Formats: sequence, structure tokens, C-alpha cells
Amino acid sequence: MAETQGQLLPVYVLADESGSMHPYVGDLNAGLASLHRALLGEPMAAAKVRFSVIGFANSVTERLILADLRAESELPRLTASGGTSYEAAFAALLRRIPQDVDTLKSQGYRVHRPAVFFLSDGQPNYGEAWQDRHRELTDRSVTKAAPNIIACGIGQAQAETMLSVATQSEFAFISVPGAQLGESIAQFFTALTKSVVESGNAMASGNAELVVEKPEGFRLAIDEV
Amino acid sequence: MPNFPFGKRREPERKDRSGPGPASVPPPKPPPPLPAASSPPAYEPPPYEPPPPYEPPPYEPPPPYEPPPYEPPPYEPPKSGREAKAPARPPSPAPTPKSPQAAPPQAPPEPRREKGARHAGRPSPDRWARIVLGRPSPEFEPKPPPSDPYRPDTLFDGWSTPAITVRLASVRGDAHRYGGQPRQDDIAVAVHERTGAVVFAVADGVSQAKQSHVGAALACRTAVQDVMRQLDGGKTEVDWRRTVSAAAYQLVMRVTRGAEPSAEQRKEAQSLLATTLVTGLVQPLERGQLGVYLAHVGDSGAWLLHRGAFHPLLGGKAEREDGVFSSSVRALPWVPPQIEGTWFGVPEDGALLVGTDGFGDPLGDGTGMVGQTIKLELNRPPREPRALAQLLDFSRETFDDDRTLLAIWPRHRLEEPGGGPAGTATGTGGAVG
Repeated sequence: MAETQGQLLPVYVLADESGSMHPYVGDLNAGLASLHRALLGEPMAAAKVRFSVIGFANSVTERLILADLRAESELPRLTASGGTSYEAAFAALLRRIPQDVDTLKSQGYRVHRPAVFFLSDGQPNYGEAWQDRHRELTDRSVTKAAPNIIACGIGQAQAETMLSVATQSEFAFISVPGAQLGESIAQFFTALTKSVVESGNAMASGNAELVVEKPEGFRLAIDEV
Repeated sequence: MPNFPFGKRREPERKDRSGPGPASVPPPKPPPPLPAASSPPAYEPPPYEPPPPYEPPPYEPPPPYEPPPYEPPPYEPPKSGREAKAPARPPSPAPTPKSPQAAPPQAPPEPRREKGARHAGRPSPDRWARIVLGRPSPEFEPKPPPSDPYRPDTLFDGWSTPAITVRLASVRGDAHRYGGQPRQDDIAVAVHERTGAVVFAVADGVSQAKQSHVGAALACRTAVQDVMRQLDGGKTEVDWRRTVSAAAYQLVMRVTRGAEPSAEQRKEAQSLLATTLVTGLVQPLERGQLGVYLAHVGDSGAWLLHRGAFHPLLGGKAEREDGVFSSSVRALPWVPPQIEGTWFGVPEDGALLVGTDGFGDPLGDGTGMVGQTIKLELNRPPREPRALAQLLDFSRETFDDDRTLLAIWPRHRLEEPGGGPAGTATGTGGAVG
């Protein structure tokens, strides 16, 4: 244990970019931009976060990797087309997270358990074995730096699916029926910002690994099943 | 990480100590038993006499304010040549680029003052600027902490007994300054006059506990009081379990207001007041050496600083097997099943450091820039106690926790006013023996 350069929390936004998200892709991008603005106003927390944005449809697009948001002038823009491959999404994280943690550690940083914020509006492609990839990703005996996953389902997303994706039942949310999807997405990013700020501030001074805020307009998926 | 080389870690219950350390360091003798009190006098409270009734003095209006005549100070041109100036330092590097392969860790550059330079002659407005170690934390004006109880941003203290020199500081972390939260660390130190022992406690309130600053203060004061009482009672070995339990009990009593606690109230105390605690005492030994007893709950640390190396005396936080870092802590009022005081010797040219993880985390193993700076500045006691507060408040990005540090040297390491160290390494001082 030499001197550490700093202590970091890797945060991943894993966003559904399937075709069904097309009407809301503007809301997604607005949410990312507001998250960026909010974190720039929280320099203490922003310094401790490395931010990645990964979009998924039938395949995965890595749009931002381990960014220091204070150094970014603009966040990447998401698009929407194609299917909804949860398998591709979790396989990408399974490859990406151990590599990223090693990279940060090799730069002399102390790394906290990564946090994944998963946002999807629907069901995964039929017949995929995404659960196997998900299990490998979240099993700490397989993936040492297995992330905490917070799952937010919007629109038609089913509570059971979000509960399967989230690593704790209190990390699984679904939007309140009848709520505007655009509004739900905005609230998702507001909650994500709060979680990042509070986790960033707590991790250096206390015992929280991850502080999770329930987005307004969402409810715990566990209440649904 | 090297083991503590002085071979003096000892659990009081067992008499088999491990072998002596390297020949270069004369091992301190085992601790002498604390002298038994000859006959501790029973406490008799003085008879109560009610104070005389308060009579306000007659009011006299203050004289009108007259400003003193202004006299500009004589201008002294700066002396040419080699005046003390902070070494020039390149601007801090740009934030981490997007590429994960960029910027491997580099050798630590020189520490610097945040602005300006050290001054000679006329005081510089930047003379209190923070010392920057690496990439600085953002600059901002702190927000006030909650008003009750009053909790100053920074405290520092320093003094010497005939044998022991003490410097200490506790500073609010940048995260709490930015968020308007109180300093959750605390510290208490006292001298036990009859034995010459310096008794201390250092606590780090758990940030999730809403009043952990109250918990930290209570734990420190209770622990020090309890050790002092045990020494008063003439005990030759302090019962550290009793001390830690007393501190824990005080936290629970804060919730119950004196009543016997229910299980729920115990839980409430844990969620409201949780704090780590390191407590102990330092005794003068022969040949200017010191003996230290330490007991702890939670992750705060203690180090022997000796000949430029930091030897950890307590476990401290470590990265877990899964390679990610967790800052979860065990904290009072939870009391671990095993609490033992552990004994260490401090060589005559060494120093004992006890600090919260706000200090220990950026220190790491002490081989980086933070360690280089600390060991340079604390090889001997800084003459001015406030110097330790300024040193401890160094600016380093992402290290924004509260920091508390207690540093203790044999007094002969102090450069006394008027020049020269105080006496020789043979002084034992105090009343031990």
C-alpha cells in the first residue's frame, strides 16, 4: 500500500437505446446534460467520480469511459434504434469493469465498488441468456469488483425484471403507472446525481458504499411483486 | 508493509514478549508498573455555601469612540538575495484525461503553498495559505456548521511535561466545510500529574450517524476521564476494556438520559452517535524513551515515526481481498468482545502519531508526498503548536475527510526557546519510578 493518489467511485450509466426509446431519447440526453451541470456545481463529489456512459440496443456502444466530468465540456448523446439485448449490456460490463478498476488502481487510486445505474423501458430480447452474464457480473467470487446495480424500469418495464437486474431489492424501481416517461427519465437523472454526490461525499468519511436515492415518480419494484 | 521492528508489541496479560529489534535501535525497557497510590485520599466535597446575590454594577456609558491617529508603517524594501521563498512549482496537472491509459503515478513533486510564498519581514496575506500536496482540493469559503453544540473548524494545542512534548490538531474536512457539516473528529489529552503519564483519546465520528460529532466528543472525554480515574486509584495496569466500555456507556446514556437502555435505545445510540475511538497513555521511560499503551475500536490509526519511516501500530484499513476498497467501520457504542491494551516502545529519537483515517488515508504507507512532508515537519516537535494545524490541513484532491493528529515526542527532541534541545535523553521527568 503506497500513498494513494485519491479515492474514486466508478459510476456507469447503462442506458437502453432500443427503438422503443426513440420518443424519449431527447429526455435521456437532457438528463445526462443536467447531471453534468449539477456535478460541476459539486466539485468535492465530482472529483471522486469517474463516469462512464454505455448505451445498449442489440449491441453495446461505449460512449464515455472513466471520464472526469470536470474535464468534459459536454456529455455524449444517446440515440435509439434496434432491439433490447440485456445480454450484450451485461457482457460489456463484465469485460469493462475489471479492466477499468485495474486501470485506476495502476494509476495509484483507491477504488470503491463500482455503481451501475441501469435504465430501461422494456423487456429484454426473447430467449437471451442474459441472466448468466448478469450472474457472472454480480457474483463477487467471479467478478471481484462486482458492481452495485440500481435498476430503474420505466413505462412497460416489469417489476420482476428490475428486481432481477438490481443487486438489492431496495435498488430496484419502476415508474408509477400513468407518469410521463420523459418526466420519469428526468427524475432518474436527478436521483442519480444525488446518489453520486452523496456517495462521493460519504465514501471518504464514513461507512456507506453507495447512497441510493429513490427517484420521484418511481416506486420500489419490491412493492409490486 | 514492514512489521514494527522494535519488538515491543505486548499484550499485558502475557509476559512473553517478542524478541528485541534490530541492533541499531536499543529496545526500550519494558514498561515499569505505574506507581501505586500510597493512600488515595477519600474525596470530601467542601461544604456548600450559597453565592452572594448578584448585584449588577452601576451602568456607566462608555466614552465616545475616538479612532487612534493613523500612522503608516515605515516601508521596508524587500531584501535582495536569498530570502526564504517557496520553491517554484509547475501548475497542477490537468484533470485526469478520458483515456484510462494516461498519466501513470509519478514521483511526488515538492509540496507548495497554495498562493504566494513564505514571507520574510512584512507578513504576506497568503502566509496562512494551505499547503498543497499534489493536486489541490477546490478552493471555496466554508459554510457554517450547525450551531449547537458549538464546534470550531480547527482546534490545536501543544505543551510539554518535563519529559514529554505534545502537539495536536483537529481540522474539519473539505467535504464538511463545503456541506456545512460539523467536524466529526475529536480529541482529548490530559496529564496525570502523579505518574507523569499523558492520557489521550482520538475519535472519528461515523458520518452516517447524525450526531457523531457529539459521540466523538463524549467518547474522548469519557475515555480520558476514566483512565485518569484508574491512575488516581493507584492501578498498576489500566483496564482498557473498562475505559472503552465507559465511553460506549456514555453514548447510550446520552440517548436514555440516565435510564437503563432498551434494545431500541441501544440501536438509536448506534445510529445517532457512532464513533471510532483510540485511547491510551504515554509514560516516560529511561534514556529519554517513551512507553505507550494503546486500545482501540474501529479504524483510526497510530504510527511510530522513527528515522523517516512510519511503522503502523494498529491495523488500520486495508483493501479487501476482492480488490475494492470499503470504508465501513466498526464503531462505539458497539464494543468488540476483545479489548486489550497493547504496549509499544518509542525510541529516544522517535515520535508517536495517533490519527484518524482522514490523516491515515492520504498518508498510506508514508512513502509518498504526504509522508515525506509529515516526516520532515514532525521529525522534531514544531515550535509553534499552530504549525501542526496548518500542516494537517494540507490540500489534496479527494482527501476531504476530517483530520485529527496527535503527535508525542520525548521532550529532549524539542528545541526550547533560547536554543538547543531541552536537556539530554537521560531525563525521565514526571513522577514515574
